[in-house]
Amino acid sequence: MFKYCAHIQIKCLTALFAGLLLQFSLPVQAFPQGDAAKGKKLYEQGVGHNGEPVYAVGQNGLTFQGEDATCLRCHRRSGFGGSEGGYYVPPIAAGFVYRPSRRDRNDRFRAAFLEAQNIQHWVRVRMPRARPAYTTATLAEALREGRNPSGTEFDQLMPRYRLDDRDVANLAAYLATLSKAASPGVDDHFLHIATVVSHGVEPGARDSMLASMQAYVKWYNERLYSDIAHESSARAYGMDVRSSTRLWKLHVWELDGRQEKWRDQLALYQRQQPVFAVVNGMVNGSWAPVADFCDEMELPCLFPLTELPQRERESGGYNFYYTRGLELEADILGVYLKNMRNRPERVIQLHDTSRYGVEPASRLAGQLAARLPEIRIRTIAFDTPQELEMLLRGLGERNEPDVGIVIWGEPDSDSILKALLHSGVKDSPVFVPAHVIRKRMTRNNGDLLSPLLGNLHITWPFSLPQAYQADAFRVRGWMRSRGLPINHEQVQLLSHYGMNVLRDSTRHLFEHYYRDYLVERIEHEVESSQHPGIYPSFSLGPEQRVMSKGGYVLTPDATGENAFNVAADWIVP
Amino acid sequence: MLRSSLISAGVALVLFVTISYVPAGAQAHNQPEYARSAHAYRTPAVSLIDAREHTVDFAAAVAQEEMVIISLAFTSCTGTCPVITANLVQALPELKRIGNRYRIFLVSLDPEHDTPARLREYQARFNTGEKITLLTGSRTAIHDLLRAYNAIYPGGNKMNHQPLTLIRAGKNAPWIRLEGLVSGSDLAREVRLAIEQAGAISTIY
Ligand code: HEC
Repeated sequence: MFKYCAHIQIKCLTALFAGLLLQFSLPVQAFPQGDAAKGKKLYEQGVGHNGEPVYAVGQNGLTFQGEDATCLRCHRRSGFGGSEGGYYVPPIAAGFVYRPSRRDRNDRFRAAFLEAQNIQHWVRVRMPRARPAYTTATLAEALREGRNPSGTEFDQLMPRYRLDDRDVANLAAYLATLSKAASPGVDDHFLHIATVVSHGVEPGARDSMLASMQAYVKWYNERLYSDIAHESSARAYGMDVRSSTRLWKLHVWELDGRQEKWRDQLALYQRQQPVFAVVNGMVNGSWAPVADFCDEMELPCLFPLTELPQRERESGGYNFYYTRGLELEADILGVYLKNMRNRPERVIQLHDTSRYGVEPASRLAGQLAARLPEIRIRTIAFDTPQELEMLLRGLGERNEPDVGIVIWGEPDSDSILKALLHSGVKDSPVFVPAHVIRKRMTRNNGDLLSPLLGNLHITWPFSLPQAYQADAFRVRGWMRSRGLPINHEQVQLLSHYGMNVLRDSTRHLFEHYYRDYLVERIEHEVESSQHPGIYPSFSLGPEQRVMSKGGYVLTPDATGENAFNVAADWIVP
Repeated sequence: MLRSSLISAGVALVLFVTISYVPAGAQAHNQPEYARSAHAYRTPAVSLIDAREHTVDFAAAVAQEEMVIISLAFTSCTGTCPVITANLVQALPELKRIGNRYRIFLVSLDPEHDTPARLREYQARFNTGEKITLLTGSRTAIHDLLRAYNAIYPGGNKMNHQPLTLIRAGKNAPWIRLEGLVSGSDLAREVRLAIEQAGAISTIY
């Protein structure tokens, strides 16, 4: 009835007025008192107040039930909705449903310009859908009948729910809380972010990471001032840049002592100055204590430089990673061994007693037992580099071509490579993770590695060493012009990338600084982000948390111009 | 030479028929829910992997069927993909009644995440049955496939993908392209229409 309200203003006012009168004159339908916790359960899990799965009818009689009928599926955890498949899903967080729809200019600007979208989406975003604020009664109508308070019928994508009054009241109560309280770590002036470092990481790498991040923050803040001074394109849209931008403040959270103590240290930092997100970071050993903290605090933790993410969960949560780390390398090796032409009959795994040794060794043993039961595998732990040398010498003396040797251990020490070079192992195929050789990847290593040519295999979860990367070139220039020496290139490029993603995704937030929304923006945007090519490509999706999913297997080559041959093309285990 | 010009004449005819045709689903709403067009795509020669981890020579698999339906989705997509998938499942009984030998290929837009194991979970969750083959593959193979069907999503980001259904009603029939969400009954109707039109072409030969 009031479909064209926004176009014909006078008529619209009369109609609204009539609507108001109507509302007062009808007996008010009494909804029970809503329970927000139960509403959340319905929203996120599709379970009604009686413990039964909720039921909805979608396009052309398709029915959805329980976990297929959650609101979260489309409107997302934050309630900000978004766009997918060219369909625009409107925000239904507290700040939207309980306010008259004003087609907020900032939101319109975002939806229209910051995303590559098809025409349909664009038309939908520009189509004014003015409506009064929802009440529990009009929400009931929206959910059951698919109509908004001014009578506009919804698109078929929004299902029609069979909900009783109590479920509607619970949902109404939950929506009233959804993304209502601003997330910690943002005040009127600053967006606080942190990075995490622990004792025992390589000091040079740590300092390079911190310096890159600090330079980024300085650059970002300076640019912000000049953007505010020249807000031309945004001003054309009446967008208030000032209300939605914040200066960044970087905090360095240093951890020391045993990993068991880290949680308390992190909690203390977070109490002293809450942050909105943690970006980058490096710790000695497993990242798990930090990850657990981030999940506990619902604090987005983006892209730590770690080989031991040790993810508990398959999906979801607040931690984003470049890769699955050494677990991925163990899996790549499992697939490679399975497909290898001259596959060894036996595998001997040597690992040190750090997490970098123990975790991938047990992962590979598990993989081989499940997929290649015909291979016999023996796993031996070593405590010192001398022990490793002794073990390898023994294997070198026997030098059996049908025995594969796998070595796992702490990164950034040359001891594994040295022990291998002195071992006399010539015919047994040897398998090592990328970090054993990574620093020697760029130079021509024909001489150094010549004793191992032909039998050394490296799992390589990165782009090929020789791949040219335009964006890396650009970022190196950026660093140089800020007087930052390029001495830990990978660390520096990735630190810069992490900050870039934070910038791009907070730009899409406008004034809506909610952590869940940030997480959803990152899921959405990583795939089209410019990245420095350390990894061939990134992709995420709803609830996905690992951006690069595969790797190569390389062998050294003394003669070729690339110093390495590709023994196995990109494997996604 | 002659043959190919006959085919393009056929395509032109189909296009003509198409333009004057308004999907019935459109009437219920202000805007049509999907757009329809006809094309002569060359089936891409890519090697893909199905949910049982078997390699699938896509061109051969398409050539082998009388009728083929292709659609795109990915397992972590929560908004439109469950609807796309449920629509296909909803169309199955009707397609069976039509009786032509056919297969539906549901191709992953997120191949590195959608491992065969994840495809199996998805199959079970949506009860996709015998006739729908879920496919994944290498990033480049999927990219080649998308390019062949003019289905590269905007911004290089699969989150911007749009619902797409392709129907090839007979071995020499053109591809009917449906953009937007297509319900099960609309799909069955489109298939019937495409078969009729394919019949019209074969009488030209
Ligand atoms: C399959 C996707 C999907 C699911 C699931 C879904 N919605 Fe929606 N919802 C939409 C779309 C799309 C629209 C926009 C419809 C339109 O405006 O044409 C919408 C609109 C709405 C609106 C109207 C917003 C406004 O500003 O007028 C409300 C309220 C809403 N949904 C609440 C819910 C709730 C609560 C649930 C769970 C019980 C839910 N939705 C589940 C897709 C979905």
